[in-house]
Amino acid sequence: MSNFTSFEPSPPLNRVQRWNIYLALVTAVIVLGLGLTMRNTALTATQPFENLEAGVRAQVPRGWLIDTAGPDFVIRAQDPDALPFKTLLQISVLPIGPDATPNKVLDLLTMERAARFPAYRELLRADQTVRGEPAKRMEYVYTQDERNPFQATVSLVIQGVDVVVLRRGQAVIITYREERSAFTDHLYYFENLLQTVEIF
Amino acid sequence: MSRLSLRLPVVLALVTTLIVSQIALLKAQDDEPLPPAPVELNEEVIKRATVFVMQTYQSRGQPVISCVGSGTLVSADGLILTNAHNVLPSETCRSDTIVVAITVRLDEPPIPTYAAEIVEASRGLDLAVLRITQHLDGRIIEPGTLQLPFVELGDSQQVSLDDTISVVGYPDFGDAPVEVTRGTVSGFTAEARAGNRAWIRTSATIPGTMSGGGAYNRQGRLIGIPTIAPARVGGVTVDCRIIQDSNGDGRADANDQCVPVGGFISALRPSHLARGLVRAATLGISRGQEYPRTLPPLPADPPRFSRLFFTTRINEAGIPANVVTAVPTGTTSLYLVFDYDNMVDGMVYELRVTVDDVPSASHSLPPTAWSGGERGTWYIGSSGTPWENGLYSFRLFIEGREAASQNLIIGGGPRETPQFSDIVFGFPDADGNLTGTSYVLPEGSAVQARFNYRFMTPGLTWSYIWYFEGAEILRDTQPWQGEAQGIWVMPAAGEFLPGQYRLELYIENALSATADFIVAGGAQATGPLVFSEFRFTTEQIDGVPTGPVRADFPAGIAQLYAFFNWRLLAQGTPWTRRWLVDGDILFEITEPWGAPPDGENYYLGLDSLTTLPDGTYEVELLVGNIVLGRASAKVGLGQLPVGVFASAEGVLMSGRITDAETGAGVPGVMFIVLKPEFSVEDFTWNQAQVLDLALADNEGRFQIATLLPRGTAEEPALYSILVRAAGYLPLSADGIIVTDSTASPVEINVALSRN
Repeated sequence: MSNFTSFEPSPPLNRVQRWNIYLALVTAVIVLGLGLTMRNTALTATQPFENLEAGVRAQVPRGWLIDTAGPDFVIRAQDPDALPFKTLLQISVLPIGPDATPNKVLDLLTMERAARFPAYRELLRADQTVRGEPAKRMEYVYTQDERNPFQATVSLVIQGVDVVVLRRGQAVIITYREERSAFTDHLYYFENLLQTVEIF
Repeated sequence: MSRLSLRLPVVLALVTTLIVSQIALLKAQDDEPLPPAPVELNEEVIKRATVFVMQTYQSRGQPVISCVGSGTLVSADGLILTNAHNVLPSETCRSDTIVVAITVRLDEPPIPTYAAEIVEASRGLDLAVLRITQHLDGRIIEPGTLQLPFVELGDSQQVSLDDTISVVGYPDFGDAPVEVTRGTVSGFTAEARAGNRAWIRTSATIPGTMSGGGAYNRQGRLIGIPTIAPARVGGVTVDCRIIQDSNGDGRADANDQCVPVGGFISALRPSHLARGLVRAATLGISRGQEYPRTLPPLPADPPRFSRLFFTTRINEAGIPANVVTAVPTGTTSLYLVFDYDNMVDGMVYELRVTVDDVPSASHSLPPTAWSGGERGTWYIGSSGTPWENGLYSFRLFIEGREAASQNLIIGGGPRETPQFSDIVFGFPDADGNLTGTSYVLPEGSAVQARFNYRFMTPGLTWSYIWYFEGAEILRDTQPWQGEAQGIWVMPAAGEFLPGQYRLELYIENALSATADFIVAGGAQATGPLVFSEFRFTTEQIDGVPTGPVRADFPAGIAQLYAFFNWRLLAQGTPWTRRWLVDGDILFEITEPWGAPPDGENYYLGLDSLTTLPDGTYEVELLVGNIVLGRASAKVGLGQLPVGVFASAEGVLMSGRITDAETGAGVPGVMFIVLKPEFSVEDFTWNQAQVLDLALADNEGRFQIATLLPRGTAEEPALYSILVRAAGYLPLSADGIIVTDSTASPVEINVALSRN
């Protein structure tokens, strides 16, 4: 024995029903757009940072953990949510001699990091500008130097960028570090920082 | 129009609303409180804080393990407390690198992870503090960057008989997981220089490789370090294992390195004896340059113990108050006293006691590192615990060879036998009364000895012998002509030059009382004047202060030197120097005086890794356990910064962060504790508001490296926490109360919901 189910064709919608549907769809699209805008705003929201003594002003991501008391940086911002590596933005100031060049500063950074980071490799050096100022950019990779040995995970590959800008007797180093697979996706944090940083 | 087309707008609206609400949730703080659950001993944290220590050296390009033991992390940045014999190089423990293996997974053996260096070590106490400085591949670890689980030092003076303890360490060569052995406190053993609680005795069965690990009270505080020196016979380690082909001949045999394992441990070094070492390491302070002194060469003659006798009382100066040959039932205090010669610190000695021919583990002292220097008088015993009746045989061993023995009977009632006791020394005043009684006297010519006597009878033969620097200088034998009981004052005419003296009193040719004293310094109203003109400076060249001499120094100095002059102190006289910070002893060294008898500008230095922390630095000089000189200088505010000893004070916060759905640990989650003055609402994600933060490990476990400073019952410290991880709803809580009575550690378990 078979069961048969018959479908009655839907009756045509009247004008009010049609407009109701259009209205619901438009509302949904507007709310969706609003939500996405809010999300983007939340994700790209920034807060101002200023250190008059160091002569640095910038916009850093809102909701990140901000450290301004370190001995070797002016500001360090870390994304507390990020897993497995806490995305890092940092601005530091290094005293330099009158004959120092951005390249020399990057050489010093390379030597210091090669002794500190496992499998440290420099990837590229290139010229760029930061708000019209000439600067030097260096990209590099290393494996995660685990502070917590109990993580016992496969070593993370961290990719980083340093942009060095020279000013009167100082080198300003702007740094971004991220786990390699997320490096490009989150590069906009760094680009935002570069666009907003003022060195005075 | 189909039903699908009718539902689509509704579904879209719902999805949109969900997205918006999730964004709102992301920004919101969950105010649901997380009540902290005070817990007692947290076995997992303690196990993770226990490390396996190996001494290694390179042979033919390969690392060779020479000695092993356990250790305990006492700070998050990698300070390790362990036995000195585990880490100090020696004949049997050749070493160029100290390797630290940690327990990553609790059910697996430890994994070699770091290299460490010795920060401070006391060969005599057999305690050492290491600092993890490198990864095994040679990369330097920046100070303060490690976040390792650690334990707090407890107050070992508060440990009582029958307290339950847990001993944690590695039971093997690192082939087995970390192990916990439980037992009780079965007594305390006294030893010269360390006092009545030189050792905590336990009923727990502890393998030798757990030496250097930790013993914990019920609150999970470190109260002792299980300690046993590898037993040797004739200088050869008797209990050892061959684990590798160290000489490269293709075979692992008797010609290869044999790693000592020791016997079973029944004694714990109380943690209060390690407190100074740990504090100095935490502060980054080490002993600096000192006056170049001449130390005696290593003795050529074999070591020996002699003149064994028993006493039931040791006075504050460490002098036996009486001599007993038998003691009555119910005795709770008994010490074996003996002289020693030609000893070297670090030698292994042992006391084996039998009661009616049955070995008594509780009264014996297992193989232990010697700490008394070359010669002197030593004692081992106990007070406050009952000694059962029986015939006791005490046998002393040096490096596995029997050196001396003595027997004693305990039992019966009190005996009324003639007796001398409680000898003190002093000078007669104008009325002939003894004044300035002490065991350190200024140079003079009229020393008198005063002692008590009991149960004496007229005509009883008694004698006395005076010694100077070990040589007899005066002896006499007389019939007793005094009362049965009283106080006797005995003059001793002669020129008392600086040096060490001894008086022995005999009744019928049997030793009845003895005491040592030292003559040093010149006379002054309050006692001998040996050390004078204390002054402090920050710089010196060849023993001459070159920096400003003052008592208050600005913050930021890196060295501090204490200078003083001295007079009439004979070479070889045992003296002790101490550095204290804010009243806590950091360093204490006892050794024979190695400078000329008189002089100026003796100096003691303190160094720091960076700068000396603000505090009041005090130097104390002792001769014969008597403080004869003391001076202090202030640096900065004159008080250590609050919380600088976080590893010893405050509440340890640890816990586990799990996925609410699966129950699995969530690795990498950031757990933030705010300073008490900030609530979650106040938090602007500024690191300055953060007390400390930790990242969860692969099992979701975390431990806050900074201990939470305590408030009081009236003004509790209120802490707020935040937990953040991508893919999970954030959690936060205010009002975690920490008072002076809050149990430590506080365990917080957090279940995160996915967003």
